[in-house]
Amino acid sequence: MDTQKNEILKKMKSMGVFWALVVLFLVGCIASPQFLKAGNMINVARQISINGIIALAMTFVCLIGGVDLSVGSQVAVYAIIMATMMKNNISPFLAIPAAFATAMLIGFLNGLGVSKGKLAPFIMTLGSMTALRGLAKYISNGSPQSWRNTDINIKFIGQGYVGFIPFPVIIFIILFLAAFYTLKYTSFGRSVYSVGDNKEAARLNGINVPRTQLICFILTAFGSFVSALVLTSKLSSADPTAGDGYELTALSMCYIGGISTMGGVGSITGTLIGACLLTVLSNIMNLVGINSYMQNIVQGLIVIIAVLLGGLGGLKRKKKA
Amino acid sequence: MRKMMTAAMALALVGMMAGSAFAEEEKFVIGYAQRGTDAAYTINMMSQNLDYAEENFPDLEFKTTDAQNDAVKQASDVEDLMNAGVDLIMVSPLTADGLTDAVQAVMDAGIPVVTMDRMVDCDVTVKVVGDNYGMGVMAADKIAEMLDGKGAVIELCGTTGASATVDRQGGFEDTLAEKYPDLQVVDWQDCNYMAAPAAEYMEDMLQKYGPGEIQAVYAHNDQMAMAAAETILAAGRGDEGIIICGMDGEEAAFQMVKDGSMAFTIIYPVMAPEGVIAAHNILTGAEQEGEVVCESTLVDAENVDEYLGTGL
Repeated sequence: MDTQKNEILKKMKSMGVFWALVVLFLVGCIASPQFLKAGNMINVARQISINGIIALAMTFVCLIGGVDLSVGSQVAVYAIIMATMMKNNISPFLAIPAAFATAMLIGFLNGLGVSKGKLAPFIMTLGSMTALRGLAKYISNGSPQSWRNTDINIKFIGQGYVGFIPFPVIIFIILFLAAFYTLKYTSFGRSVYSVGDNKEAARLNGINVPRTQLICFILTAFGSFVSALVLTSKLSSADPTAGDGYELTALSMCYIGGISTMGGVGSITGTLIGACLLTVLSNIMNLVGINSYMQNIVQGLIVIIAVLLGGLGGLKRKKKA
Repeated sequence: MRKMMTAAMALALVGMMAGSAFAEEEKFVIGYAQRGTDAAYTINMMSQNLDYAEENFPDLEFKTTDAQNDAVKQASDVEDLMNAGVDLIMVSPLTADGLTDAVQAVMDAGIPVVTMDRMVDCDVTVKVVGDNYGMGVMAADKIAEMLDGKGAVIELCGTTGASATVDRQGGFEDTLAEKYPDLQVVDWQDCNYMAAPAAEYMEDMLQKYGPGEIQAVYAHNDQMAMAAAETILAAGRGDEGIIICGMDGEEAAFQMVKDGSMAFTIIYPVMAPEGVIAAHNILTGAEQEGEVVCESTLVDAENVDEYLGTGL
């Protein structure tokens, strides 16, 4: 009886972020007449997708108790590769696969450093974050690259619609469902949780720990690639400073959504809610006209409060079994 | 294995140093401490000064450093150049706070200093500067002229606290307040001089303001202006005639001025060749004023053809 009550209490608290999102929605409706309009909702959904795609992938790395600081720099590298090639009139059918191949290689290297090199993910990706930012600047010679002057048009990826739903949102939903299924119903998903929970125990249970780690970093590289594709096609250009701070936004989304910094605990739905929360918050503040200084204060506090609430809800114990 | 690698690296290093020791003599050596080479602007500043020197001043030789946007590194770069015995230091400081002490030390050692673009808080031999405040004023006057002094403006600001941001915002808003009371900045946001945040903010603004409620977008750089233009087009609101104005003078922005999706941009001077000319004057004892203000140019549909191909 007592434990049952406890369980319900835990569940309610772990739903805290969801209720926070609901409250935020109500605040938005009251604060701005434009907020709930269809046009704005579609707009918010599209904005969620760019950072949200990375956050989905970041969830896997966070769940194994890692972190990938290099995603923002990766976005810049892939965007710059595509933009530089297309600027020189190379077909997107070559440019996009080239960026994809680079992503797979970079993800593999990050993963290799962590799994075989036994580097702490923070250290490995801190290094690759700096190196890849340098690479983006090196390839582009520091300048923004734009293919506006060519006949190439891939705007559909970033700006197109299927019916009334923006194409990036469709990509995001597909990736969300894939991530949801993988974490919940596949043996890889289970090994992600066990590695995050206890590496040694996972190894003794026959889980291939290095392989799990490797795949997770390839996933963040893939997420960064998709995000870069959406971003760069939306703007018809790429900037070597693109993606700056995306790692922190993606991590904020994960942590707000209840992913433990230690790994092993949390769900992809949490990340989705975290992504919605941060984006809706920024949208409301823009609509109301709250200046950027204040926005930063609010965004920072939200991360702290959300994680605090998650901690109170005893999330850490929940998935351990 | 490790020892061998260390030895090989040491050898390579010695080789590099020996190579540079064979440089020619009887030349003035200028230490050039660049704050970063991560943007077209800083790259052009350095390359155009160096190219001009190569063509016109055979008596100059350069030692260059790149601080990669790290003020601490740039301060030590300046110290290293001073210790290397250069005859003059050209520096484009990342921040005044970070570089003032280092520059003061160089001046105290009797080595002349030319600052370019940004400044430090101590006396230097020559300051080569742009006029960001003037660019803000120029933009305000032009937008007011196009709109008969009336309308709502969205301002896409650069990085908070950067002196260019403060001046571009100040020049623009002071001018509106003084001369055009009916032209108002209705919303503004720090978009960090970057395209993606500017596009996202603009999307929100297009939700907030319906057709006909925005007359102009004033962006502190071209990256943000072009993103705003793309966003307005993508939202299907390109026919409202929203005036979009950028700054810096990027080639892609010239193209957009040409095709009409942007109204105008204002070129921020790259301090070249003014910087290296001032340095050469000092070294050769020619006359040189203590401050050189490089002119900004407004590029709109009328004169854009002259500037196509010269942008950043």
